[in-house]
Amino acid sequence: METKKTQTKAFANLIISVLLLVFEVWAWIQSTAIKTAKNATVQPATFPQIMILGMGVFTVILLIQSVMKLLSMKADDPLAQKAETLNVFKDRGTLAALFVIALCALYVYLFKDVGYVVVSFFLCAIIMWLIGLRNPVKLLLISALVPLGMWFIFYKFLTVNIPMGILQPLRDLVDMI
Amino acid sequence: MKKFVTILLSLVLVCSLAVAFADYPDKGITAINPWGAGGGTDNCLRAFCAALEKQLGVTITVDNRTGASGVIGHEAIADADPDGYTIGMITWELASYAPQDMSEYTYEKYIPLCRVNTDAAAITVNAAWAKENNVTDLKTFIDYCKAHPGEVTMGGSSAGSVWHVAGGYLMNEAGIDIKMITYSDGAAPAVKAAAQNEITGVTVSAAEARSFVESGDLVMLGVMDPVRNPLFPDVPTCAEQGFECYYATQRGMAVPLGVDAAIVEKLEAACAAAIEDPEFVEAMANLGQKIDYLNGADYGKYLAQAAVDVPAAMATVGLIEE
Amino acid sequence: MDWNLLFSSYANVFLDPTTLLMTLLGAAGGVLLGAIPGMTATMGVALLIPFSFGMDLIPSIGLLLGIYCGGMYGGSISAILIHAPGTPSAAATLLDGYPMAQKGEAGRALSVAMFSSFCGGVIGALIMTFLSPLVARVAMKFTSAEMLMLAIFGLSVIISISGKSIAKGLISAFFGMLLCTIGLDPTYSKQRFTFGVTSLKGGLSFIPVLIGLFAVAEVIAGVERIIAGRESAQAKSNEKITRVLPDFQTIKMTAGNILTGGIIGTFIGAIPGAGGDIAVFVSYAFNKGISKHPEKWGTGIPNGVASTESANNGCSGGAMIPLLSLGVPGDSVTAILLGAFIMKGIQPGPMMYVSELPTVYRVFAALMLANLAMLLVGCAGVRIFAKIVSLEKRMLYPIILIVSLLGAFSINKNVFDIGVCVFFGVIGWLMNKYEFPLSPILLALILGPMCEQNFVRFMDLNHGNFGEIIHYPIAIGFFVVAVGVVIFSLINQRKINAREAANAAGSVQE
Repeated sequence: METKKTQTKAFANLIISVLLLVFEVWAWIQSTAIKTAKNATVQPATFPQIMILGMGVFTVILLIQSVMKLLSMKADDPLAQKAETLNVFKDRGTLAALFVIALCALYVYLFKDVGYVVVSFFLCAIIMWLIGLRNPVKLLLISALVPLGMWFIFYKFLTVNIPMGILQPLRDLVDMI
Repeated sequence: MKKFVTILLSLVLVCSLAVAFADYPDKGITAINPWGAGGGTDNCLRAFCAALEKQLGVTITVDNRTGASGVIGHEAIADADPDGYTIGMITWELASYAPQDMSEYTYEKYIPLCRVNTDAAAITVNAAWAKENNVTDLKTFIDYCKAHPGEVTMGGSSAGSVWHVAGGYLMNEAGIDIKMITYSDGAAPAVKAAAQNEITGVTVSAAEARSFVESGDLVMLGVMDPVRNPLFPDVPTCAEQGFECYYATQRGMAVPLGVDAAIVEKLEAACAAAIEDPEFVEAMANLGQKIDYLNGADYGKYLAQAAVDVPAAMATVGLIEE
Repeated sequence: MDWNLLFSSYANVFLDPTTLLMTLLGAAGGVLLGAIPGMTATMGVALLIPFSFGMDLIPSIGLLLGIYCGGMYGGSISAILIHAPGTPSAAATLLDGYPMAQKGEAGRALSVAMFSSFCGGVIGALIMTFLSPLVARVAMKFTSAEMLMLAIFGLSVIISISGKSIAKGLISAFFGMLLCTIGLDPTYSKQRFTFGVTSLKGGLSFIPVLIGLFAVAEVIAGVERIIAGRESAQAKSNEKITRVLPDFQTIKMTAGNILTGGIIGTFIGAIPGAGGDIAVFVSYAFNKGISKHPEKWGTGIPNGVASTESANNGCSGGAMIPLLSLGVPGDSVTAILLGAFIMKGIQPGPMMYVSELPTVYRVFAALMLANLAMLLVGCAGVRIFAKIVSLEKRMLYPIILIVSLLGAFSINKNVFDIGVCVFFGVIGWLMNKYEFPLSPILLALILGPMCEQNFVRFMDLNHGNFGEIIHYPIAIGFFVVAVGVVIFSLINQRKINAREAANAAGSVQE
């Protein structure tokens, strides 16, 4: 079956290059806000701006390549294959991936106050359940023991002080050993 | 099982009530280091903590909170719970954050306990260059700089670092114009560059320039310290050569504002005793770091003076707007 | 070369039980630390410095070198098994190591990594023993101009790790270089792209970005594949590990890669400011370039693993050269070692070869011993480490995630870094989805600061006149080689694309 042109990799590249151009314009505007130094041979903003320009040049090349491909599309071209989608309504995998990302964001938000062991327990357990581990004993045991073990090793042997949040007393307990 | 739960619960209670005034300290203390493991500050702090442990009788864990040129760690010390169980080492850089708009935190956010160490800057130049231009001491060097404004290039570690600003201080004091070149990976690459004659010289500490001075690639013209450096007893101080300039990096201990006065007093006393610990003295001698003790009150005055001097020198090297 | 002194120093080190024990302990600790994402050999060395206070010089140097060498190999373990380079120097190992593990050859990949780490380390130690003064003289020739051009030469490698679309590879690379400019600028301390966030002022931390781009992105993609039914949640490796060292056939096949990798690693390691992270990519690209089958690179072949792992362990020998003979550390670990020497009252530098020659030779011997210890620990560990991938994917992915996020945190103990890690996990996932190669970002992140700082310094020293570069023949040499590499890799990439197209067409006809 012939893939619709708007679903090909070439078309995806076209969209991406347009988005990248928008990003580059934004980055350029941000770079103009960098303060200048007096008597400087190379201003602090110069190097980033060269990089933005470099990115821009190759984005335009990608844009042109994609347009050319779209105009003379052959069925056996690798870029004529169907591109990956980000449409969560059509692709359950994408939905799951975005869910994991949201969980991770929540994880970062709660890390300091709730503590590593507890947030990791939930993150681990939820993802395990999501991808099909339904044995409750295994699920709970792994989710609890791995973070606890990691914390213990990092705290006791590597002297990395990890926020424990509500499990703080555990740390004081380990301190006494 | 029941017994265990009771013990656990009582432990929780004890720990949460541990803002002990009477028998401080009764649990481990965390010492925050704003700089990375293995660096000069880290070596100094770990050696000092080992001595402090003996005085206080509890373990002290060094916690390296690095990032953002030390800002993260300095802020972490000031923001810690003022229960006396978090102490920290503050360094010279603290005075440079506010003028550079990197952090609002100044020395006023801390209760200083003691100054532990200072390391003076030294003016060291390439030996071949010095010979070629008849530079033999500080005076001839400054005369050369005056005759050739903007031509002499000096390296001083990374941008905004203590040795970079040392160059600005030298310019202010001597009324000369030299160009400061930055070496982001620290003092060692700058020293190497001076030995290669890529730059004329360096304004780093004497210990850091030691290896190439001993090999004869570099000559040290003067140290910005009231006394000569024991590693280089032959190198005169700047003051001896008629230039009254003193410039050094410093490291000291501090706790956040709000710590109970009794605890501060106890910590200060412990610091004062720890500084004389023979093992600490030996470790510092091996490190080539100078023990330069000031008590809490004097250290506070010193920090206040630094908050004025440092920005002035920074403006000279273009790090902040004048 | 004083042979008597050399032999007596080796005997002195190899026959001292304390040194043997300490080196072995160090190697074991180093391998484990290296294998944990976010825990690097640097941290291991720093952690153990206080313990070495009470020891004699050589046992404590043995301990620290053991960690150093062990950590260099340890980084490859997590790169191969869970797509998370344990150390930056292992970043190129996952290009072929992870695909090997996915094909069910995890044990083989580990043993190749171990064997080539050992050989690379020995090559480094030998070069260090016999050519130190010569290499140090060359290193002293490197000024800002040479460093700038070395960085540009390193960047020229990007084409050959870009994959199918060179435009996409270069966009990734420039994006990576742009990312390095976040934070205070290295010359005037002006804020760039910090948006008022304190944690951004020191720039993005490298390790959280690395863990995000590779490990977290792989977990997100793994969950996606499982839910979409493209990968079985129960999938696990059933590889039977019959031997811990690679078989003769494999050794013969990779011998050339190991040799070139070791030599490239040693020389790049010997240049202060350039370390294993750069050497592995240069070695990978070089070996790919001279390979008869460049199209197989990146699909999981032992040659890829061999060329990178020999390079990063060769680096440890190389980095010791400027440390001992110039007093200038070659990378972050040797920076800490420098402190260890000074604490013991020995000042590394030009005078060390004059006044402390026996110590220098003993350090050579200790490095050799550390590599042997690493091999021993590695042999004992291959079976245990390979067990990790015999876990079902539905258990493995969540575990990788929480371990990686903790690794991102522990590098600076800053929660912000976990955020950075997750953010780059998303970026990495999107880039994979739309076929943007990840390795160029990585290489750009490594080389970007080196490039900018040396460029600015060069311009500062030459009053803004870039043309002065013609007075630096070594720099010009690097530039010419860089241009050559670009042209060569462009031609090579055409060849690869043509062959792949032919293969694809062939398989359709069948």
